[in-house]
Amino acid sequence: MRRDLLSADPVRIPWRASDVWLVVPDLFRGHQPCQAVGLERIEETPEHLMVRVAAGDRRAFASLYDHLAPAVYGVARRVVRDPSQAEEVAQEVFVDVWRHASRFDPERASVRTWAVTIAHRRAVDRVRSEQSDRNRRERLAVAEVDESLSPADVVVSGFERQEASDALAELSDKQREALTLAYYEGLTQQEISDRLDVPLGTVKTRVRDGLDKLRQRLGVNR
Amino acid sequence: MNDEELYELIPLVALHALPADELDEAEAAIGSDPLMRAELDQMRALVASLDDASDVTPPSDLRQRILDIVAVTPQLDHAPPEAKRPELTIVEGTAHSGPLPQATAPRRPRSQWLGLSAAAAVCALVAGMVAWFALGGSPSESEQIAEVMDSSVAQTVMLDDGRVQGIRIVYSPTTGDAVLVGEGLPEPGDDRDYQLWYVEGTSPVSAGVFRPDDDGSVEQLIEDFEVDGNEFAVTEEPAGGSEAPTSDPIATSF
Repeated sequence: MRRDLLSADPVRIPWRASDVWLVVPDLFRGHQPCQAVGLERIEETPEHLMVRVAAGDRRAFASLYDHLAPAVYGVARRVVRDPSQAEEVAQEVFVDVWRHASRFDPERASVRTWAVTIAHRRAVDRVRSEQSDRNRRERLAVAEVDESLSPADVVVSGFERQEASDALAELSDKQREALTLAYYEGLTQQEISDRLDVPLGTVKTRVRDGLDKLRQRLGVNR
Repeated sequence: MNDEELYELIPLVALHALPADELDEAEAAIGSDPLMRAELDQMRALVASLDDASDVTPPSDLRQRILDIVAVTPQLDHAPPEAKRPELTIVEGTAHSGPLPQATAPRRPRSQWLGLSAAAAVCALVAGMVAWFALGGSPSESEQIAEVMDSSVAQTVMLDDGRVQGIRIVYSPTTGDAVLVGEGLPEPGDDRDYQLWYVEGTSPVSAGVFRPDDDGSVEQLIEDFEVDGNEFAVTEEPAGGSEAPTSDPIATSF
């Protein structure tokens, strides 16, 4: 529509008020209407939205999706690698969030943590499933595509995310390796032990020490 | 597992770094102890913040797909009570005089069916709905069967307990129709038919009669039929069917 406007007959100026009235909504199509008229937009947190979602509000769910989708899809993508499988995981997660909205307990976690936890579990289950085992052999090939996500695909990291990244960098290589294999590769402690050829107890220690260090660095957030 | 061992597992549970069954077991045990649960919650928050590689914008069509699914998916308020195992009540000598309609099963609330289906099962619902609406008009029976059988969201209930194997019900939550599918079924006899029952509580309700073709196959449409977590049974009945089962089931889903 905007292209049509740009290519419209240039001699059509000055616009009449009615033209402006007709044109402006088109220019702002796809944006928040309140932005178009310059009203202050009340930002709803996922926690606010979640209350409405639990009451069956599908519009609130749509807003919640907008808040959480990059995090949920991001985790799925990092763990399962394959974009179409990551989409399926994200889809499962959001249907789960909708169906089990009343189970969300704000005392226990932020909405983001809750959703990311569900996403990680589903992604891990998927990479461990028999079917995904077959696909996994192709993961090296897919990984290359994964690394080449276009800049437009990647949402700018927030301060907290940067902080987490810095905290991760402070871990010992071995701690980071153990956490990374568990979190991003979806390996069990036994598989990590086999992969690194270290005893199970060592894996446990590295994982716990790594998380303890992160906790000290990041404080206790939900 | 003592408390100390359980405590040691908390980081691994937070990272999902245990096999699924151990994970579920440990999570349930941790959940019953408020202190351990609080520790797990903290660890999970930390793990969730490990997401250092930046969020990734999902494909733009995913949003609408999910919203369309959610539009037809009910929410679960509470965990449903454990379903009671139905018992099939057999009534002697109630042969039905005429043929039964093909689909006498009353329509069950769709929400209940969807509530019982796995989340993944409704994932491609949208595509199915689009296909359905695109058909327009009243589809023929064979088209309706194809619609169910080709549905990417079709659910299958196996009636695999009993002396006759190979009967299943394929149900499409998209169209609300089901297809009874059977292969390798024995010939019921000239004056006999098979009859499908769904078991509501302890009462079997007829869902129609069917006969396999010469090679023992059957593919019969059951219109406007919702599985709704009911159990199903097939009996051999006098031709035309009975008002209530007059013989032991040859195949059941329970």
